[in-house]
Amino acid sequence: MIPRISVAMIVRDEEANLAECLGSIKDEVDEIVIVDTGSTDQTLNIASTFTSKIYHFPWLGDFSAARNFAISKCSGQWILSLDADEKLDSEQGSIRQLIKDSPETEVFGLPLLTYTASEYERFTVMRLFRNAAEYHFVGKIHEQVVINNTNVVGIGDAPVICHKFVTRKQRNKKRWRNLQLLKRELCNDPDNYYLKYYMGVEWLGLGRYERAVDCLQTAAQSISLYQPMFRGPAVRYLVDCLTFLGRSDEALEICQNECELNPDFTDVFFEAGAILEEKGEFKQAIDYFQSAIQLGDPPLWFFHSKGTESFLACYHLGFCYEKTGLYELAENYYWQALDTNPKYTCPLYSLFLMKVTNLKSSEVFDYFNKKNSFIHDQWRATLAMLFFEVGLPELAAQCYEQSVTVSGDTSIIRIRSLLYSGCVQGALNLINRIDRASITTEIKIEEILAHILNGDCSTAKLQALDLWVNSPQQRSKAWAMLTIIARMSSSTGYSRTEKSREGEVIEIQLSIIENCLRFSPKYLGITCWGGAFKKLAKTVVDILMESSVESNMKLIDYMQGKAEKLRSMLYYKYSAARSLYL
Amino acid sequence: MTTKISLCMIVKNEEKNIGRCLQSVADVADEIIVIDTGSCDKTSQIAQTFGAKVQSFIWNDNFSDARNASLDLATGEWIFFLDADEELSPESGVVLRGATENGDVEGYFNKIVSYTGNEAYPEQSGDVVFRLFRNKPSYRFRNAIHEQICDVISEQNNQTSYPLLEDLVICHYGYLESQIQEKDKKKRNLVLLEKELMNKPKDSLVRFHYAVELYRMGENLLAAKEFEKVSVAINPQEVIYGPKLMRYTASAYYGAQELATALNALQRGLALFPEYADLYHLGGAIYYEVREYGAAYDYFQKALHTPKQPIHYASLYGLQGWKSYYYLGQIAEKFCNDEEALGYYIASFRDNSNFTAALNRMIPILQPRSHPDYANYAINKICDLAVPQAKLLIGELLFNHSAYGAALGYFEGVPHEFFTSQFILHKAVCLIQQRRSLEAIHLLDSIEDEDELFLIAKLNKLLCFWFEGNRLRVRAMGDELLSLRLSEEINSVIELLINTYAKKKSLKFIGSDGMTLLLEIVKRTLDLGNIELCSLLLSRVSSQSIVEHYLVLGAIFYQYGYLSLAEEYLHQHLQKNNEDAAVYFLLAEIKEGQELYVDAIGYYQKALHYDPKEPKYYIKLITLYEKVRAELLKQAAVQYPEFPILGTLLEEAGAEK
Repeated sequence: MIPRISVAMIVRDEEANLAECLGSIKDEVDEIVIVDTGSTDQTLNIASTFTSKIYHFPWLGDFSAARNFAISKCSGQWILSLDADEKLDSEQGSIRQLIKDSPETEVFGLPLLTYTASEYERFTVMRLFRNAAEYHFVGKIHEQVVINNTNVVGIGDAPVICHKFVTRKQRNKKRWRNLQLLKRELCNDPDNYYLKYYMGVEWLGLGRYERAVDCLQTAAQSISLYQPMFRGPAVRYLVDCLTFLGRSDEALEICQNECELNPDFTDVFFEAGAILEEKGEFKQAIDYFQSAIQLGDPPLWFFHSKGTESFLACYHLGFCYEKTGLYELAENYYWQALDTNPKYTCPLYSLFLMKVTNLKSSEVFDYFNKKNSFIHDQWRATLAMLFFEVGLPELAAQCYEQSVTVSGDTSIIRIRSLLYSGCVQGALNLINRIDRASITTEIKIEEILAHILNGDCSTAKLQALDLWVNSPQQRSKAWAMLTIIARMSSSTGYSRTEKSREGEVIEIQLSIIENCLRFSPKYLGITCWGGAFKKLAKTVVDILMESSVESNMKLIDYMQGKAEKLRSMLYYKYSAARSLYL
Repeated sequence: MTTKISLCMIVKNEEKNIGRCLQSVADVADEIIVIDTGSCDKTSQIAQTFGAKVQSFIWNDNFSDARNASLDLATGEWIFFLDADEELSPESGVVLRGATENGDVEGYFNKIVSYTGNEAYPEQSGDVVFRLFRNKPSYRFRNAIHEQICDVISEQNNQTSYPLLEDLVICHYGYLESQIQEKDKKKRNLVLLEKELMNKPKDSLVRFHYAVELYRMGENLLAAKEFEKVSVAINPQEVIYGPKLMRYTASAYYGAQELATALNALQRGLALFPEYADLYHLGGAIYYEVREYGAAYDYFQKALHTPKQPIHYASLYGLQGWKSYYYLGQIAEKFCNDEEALGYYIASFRDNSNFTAALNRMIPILQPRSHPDYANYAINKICDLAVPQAKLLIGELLFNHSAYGAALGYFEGVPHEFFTSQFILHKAVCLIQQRRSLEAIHLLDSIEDEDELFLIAKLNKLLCFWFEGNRLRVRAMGDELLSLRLSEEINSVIELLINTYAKKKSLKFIGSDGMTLLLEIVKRTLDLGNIELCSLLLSRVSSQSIVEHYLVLGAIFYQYGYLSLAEEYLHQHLQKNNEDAAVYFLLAEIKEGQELYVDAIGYYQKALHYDPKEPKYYIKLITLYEKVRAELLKQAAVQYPEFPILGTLLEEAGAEK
């Protein structure tokens, strides 16, 4: 007999997520049961296009009550419990397959992936269980299925539940509410370590590390090794908290202890490596990162942060080897990290810094070109930005010339690269390709500057006035442009900036100086050096020096900033010899 | 009653060395046994004059057999072995004697100091050897090469360690350049070791010696491979040659210019022997070579601060002192930290007063051309100038740095008996540059026809007249030199000097040898401050001859403070080669000197982009930013006197400098 599967959900105001969630499960289950606890949006309408089994249950501040009510409405032999902000990621029939493959099992732990920007964290959650009276939820919050007999618990690697990516802000909104509920629960059940754990997670999310440490310490000490699905994240979060608090020795001790107790738990090896790296103990750190890579993905019931077994560990190995002076090894690991996860671009920054402080600039470009780095969109953008930042706009512009597919790229960084490498007309041509309606102020400013550099102050003035008239929000920028244009055409033709916009105007003026200083043609003849760029920079400096004490101070700070930035480069490259120059 | 000591040796064609060796033990050895394996020189006769018992032995490719033959003849209670290229240090006899009176010991380790490199300034390193042991019939050497007896004795006595006699010192001269074995002798050793290794492929010690021999022959990669095999087979921490093994491994890769592999090997070595000065020094040298000055600095500092090295590390002398200081001085210079650099050079020179290279690096830092008094003051503080040789040395160093005035001061204190023709020439040049022509010519005339410096002396005489604008004598002197049939290139320079003042303006082509001379003349002319004469001279030279020398000319004009001329030449150079960081750097310095800061910033950035490994470029640009900031602050403070904060900041900026 093929078992019937019901999905049980409780929802409230989930119009944004529900369709995607239900779409991902409709072919995997036989019945969809939805319990609404008081939606005021389109949730119910959306739900009704998927199922007729929609029920109402008044919100009593008790998640378990609602969930148990939902279970009670299910007719299948198996229950899948899901939230609306989750979805199922699986091959067709994977739930049935899982059930079929282990007939003894009554409760399944499934992988739950929560996404961050470029990677995900993997938890294991008990979400698939037999529809029997003994399996019901307890706990008003962070409710869990009661399990009395661990022999019937199994674990599956498919299907996977994916939690929708939420911003920190969105998540924090719920944290205070959760904390209230958790506190109340703990009053009733003070020895419940799981509640302590959840409380720790909430405090951590809110940045209250001291409080989080208290909760997580209790949880990590009390949750047994046989509960790795809780112990794992508890330890991991505790280590995070302690690290944030600067208590890295304690954090390290916990990691090392856990490495011994749980020699398969990849993440703690990685964490130990990270702490040692932070302490400058690179050689020891290397051993831990190597172990993390060797271990690979930990067994399913362990919490796991994706990448700690691969690209993250590789990146950190690269860093440690770089710090110990083994540059070739470092390079290899950086590339390994990039190859494993091209979206994780941190290693690209490291490689760039390594190369740009070691090779002459054209060789840096050739190096990345040989590695085909300019074909990958994200890498190209990153590298172009980096070349531009270190004062090599012509190489930044070249990044876009290595692949035919990018000829339509009209990003600000490409425009600036062309402009400040002296290819003024090229920059203007690129801007002309952009639909006027969607052109950003940033680009408009560069367009005006391009006209100024071209010696066409009248067009520049028209465009600046246009910006003034049509974009009231951008008047400081327009003003900054107009003063420069006035100054370029006559020595007295501008008036003082209003105090209210002065800060913004100075900021723009300084960025113009900065960009003009990037201009650096291949050959610097006696007469050719500078030209329009030097004149523009000089004009802006004069304006700043004449304007006010604030503008003078900002200019002075800017110069100090330049010195400090360069000093930090020197420090990056020659930190060991710092006593010679600091 | 004292115990009887037999000195045993095996020798072949050692007439140059054996006398020294036997002399050093004449008072200690009660008996001398010399086994001659086939000398065809006076070795055995010399040995006999020391009362040695000499016996011939037919060489059978086996060192142990030969050594054991000597043991068979020895009658003393103790055996002491030396090789002919070694000697016993003077204070060691008493130690040796005393050691043999200890009844509980079967043998001793002692110290050996090896001298390598140049005879005049040899490198030294210490190590331990097993050369002194009781004479028993069962104690016999084994292994055809790198023969062993220590292990044999240990096996018979269950004894695994022997006392180390640090004050029993053997000096070993066999690795000096003058002594270095001929190729075939090395080859012979290698063949023997290969054979030995065939018989005992698992004997790590034999393999180690084999690898060392490969390394000595310059077969770096092969050697490295063998060293690696050894370090896999044994635990380097458990054998006495472990530290050396790790050092050799890294050195072999370094010799093969496999720098990354060498560094890796080095770190493996340091993981096992974290206080091994030689590994740090080697690492420092490699990092210095690849211009990773931060890591180099770190490694040399660590080399300096390692504790006293155990003898079996065979640490090279000077690594915990002058050698590392010298490198640190150069690194400090890279970071424009002259004060630290000077400190390191002084430390280096104080640690080894024969090491004049350190002194030489100090001279430009002291700026003897522009600040002769301070330079003299500093030199007097650093050096003991009591002996004339010291004055001569300092004078020569100053001379080489074109500090003629300062050099002359030292030269004048050198008494007559130390005069050589080179010294006379240099002193004369100094006098010319001080416009003391009469004295100069007098000195130059004292260099005789047959002297190898005769022509240079004449040439300087010509220059002396030329600087003075004495056309007649220039003509006369020039014609005299032309009649001597010098090379065509030199002749063309002489003709140029003769015709400098001529009305007829023709351009002269000068080849590269001639240009070397011409550039020297340019420098000397500028040193005299005669820019007009210099320009006149250069205006007579075809641009074709100068085209390769724009950079040098630019640098010379910069050095003597003629900035815009320097700039012109440097730009000419850039037209041929626009990727030369050093040129952009010079241009930046010039622009900074002319207070054209935007241009200076541009040039410094260029220099950095073409060569981001030069710390000086960063430092100078940072300093420039700070300078611009200070100037902006100064102007703002004047413009806004009502804001005292500006004045405070200005004071702070001033205080930091």
